[in-house]
Amino acid sequence: MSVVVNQVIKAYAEIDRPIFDGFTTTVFKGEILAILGPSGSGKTTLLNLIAGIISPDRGSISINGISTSQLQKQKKIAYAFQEDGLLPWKTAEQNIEWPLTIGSKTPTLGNPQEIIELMGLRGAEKQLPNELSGGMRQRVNLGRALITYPEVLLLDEPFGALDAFTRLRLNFDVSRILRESSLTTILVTHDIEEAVLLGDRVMVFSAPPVRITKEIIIKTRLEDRNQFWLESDNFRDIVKQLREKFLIQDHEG
Amino acid sequence: MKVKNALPVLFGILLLLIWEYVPVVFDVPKYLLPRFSEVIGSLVDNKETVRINLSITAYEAFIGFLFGSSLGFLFGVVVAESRVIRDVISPYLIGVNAIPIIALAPLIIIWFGSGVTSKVIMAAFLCFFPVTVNTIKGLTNRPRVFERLFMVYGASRYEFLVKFKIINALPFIFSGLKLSATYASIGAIVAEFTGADKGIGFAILRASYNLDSPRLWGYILLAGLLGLSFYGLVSLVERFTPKHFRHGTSV
Repeated sequence: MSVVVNQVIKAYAEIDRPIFDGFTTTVFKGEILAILGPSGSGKTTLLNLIAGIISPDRGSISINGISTSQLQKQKKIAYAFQEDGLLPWKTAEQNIEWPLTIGSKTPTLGNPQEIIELMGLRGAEKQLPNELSGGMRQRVNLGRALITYPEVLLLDEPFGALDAFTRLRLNFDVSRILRESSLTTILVTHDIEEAVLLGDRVMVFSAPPVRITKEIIIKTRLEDRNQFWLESDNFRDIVKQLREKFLIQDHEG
Repeated sequence: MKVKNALPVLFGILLLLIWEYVPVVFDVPKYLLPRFSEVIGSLVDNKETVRINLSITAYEAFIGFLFGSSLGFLFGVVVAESRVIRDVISPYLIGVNAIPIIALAPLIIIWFGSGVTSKVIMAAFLCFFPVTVNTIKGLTNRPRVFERLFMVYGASRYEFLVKFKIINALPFIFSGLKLSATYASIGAIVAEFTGADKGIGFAILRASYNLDSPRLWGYILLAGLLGLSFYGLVSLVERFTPKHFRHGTSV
């Protein structure tokens, strides 16, 4: 499903400038869009708008022409946050299947065992969140997002709090999962390398009101993005371009 | 018994020994400080009266605790769920809570008579606020991520309240209940001071009029034990809730 953000205006009373002032973009079906930008540049606000958690002041957001609220009811939008938001009184397995028990009264499809296998959580499914490592918690967080077979996956810095090694390992796992699915994914991150590793397209946001200051399409196929590619000139060149853009933006204030 | 558990018991025994021997060693008159054994002797000698007084106060305090904390919980939920109600009511809530219970007691006796009802109401009044305040704190104190999570899956407000907020607030609610448990007997006893013909409060007052120090101390001891046993009862209920429910998502 493609996500169309059309002429969106969104302002908060406590901030003098609007976050979005006529912002327009499209995320194509099956595409992984990675968004980079300074703190407070509206990255999470965009995800919240697409998820239907907040509404635009003006403009519209539709997914294949369907409103977000309708898709929300069908649980076709999934969202994984940086703070994993795992319910501390539920086991890993219960957290994963939790979206099936909430909201719409019509039964939602979902196979927890399949997700446990996919996320490499076999053996840890009966553990409570406080018994799991940060990496395992994020695997449960992602598994919970995938349980309803969503069409759109929103990732808000899900690996932001992890150490570099766990983060890289999860990046490769997520890359594999996204490659095998046809999910339309929007990933918000502060990590340029992560954005390049996972994204089909990387977008850089300015400070509000948000403009897209740079956009790079990553031509290397997802399946070819392995540890060797991370050492390649191609990867380093893309990262360099984005880093330079960041530094210029930062300098311009 | 582990050393950690044995220490409070040993400390208690030491206090009782001091209590027993200080009046003897320093020749303190009985009406100022009777010996511990005299206090216990006085309670045993009047065990039937003591039993009646204790059971009356325990009954008033228990019913008051049930009413007060249930109402406190429900009121806490309503206030926490509505920002308007919270903003309007909060100053009055603090004001009413600041009224000394002893000042309120005569009024409640005038309204509800000197029977059990007025004591139950006093106990309930004292139990109400700790549970209300802690319920509000528990329901409003949570990481934002859970609100977003429930919204993404189209959960209703009621679902968010029942399936998350209340469970998450349990550690706070239990703190309120434990406070209330000790306040319940205080409420009942203070009400008995004002107008009663039975109960620990009434017995304390009568013993003081008669300068019957051993009995006075005995009932004071019983009042403390009553509060302690209510506290223990709530702690026991808390222990039966699954361990992971007792943590919540601290912010």
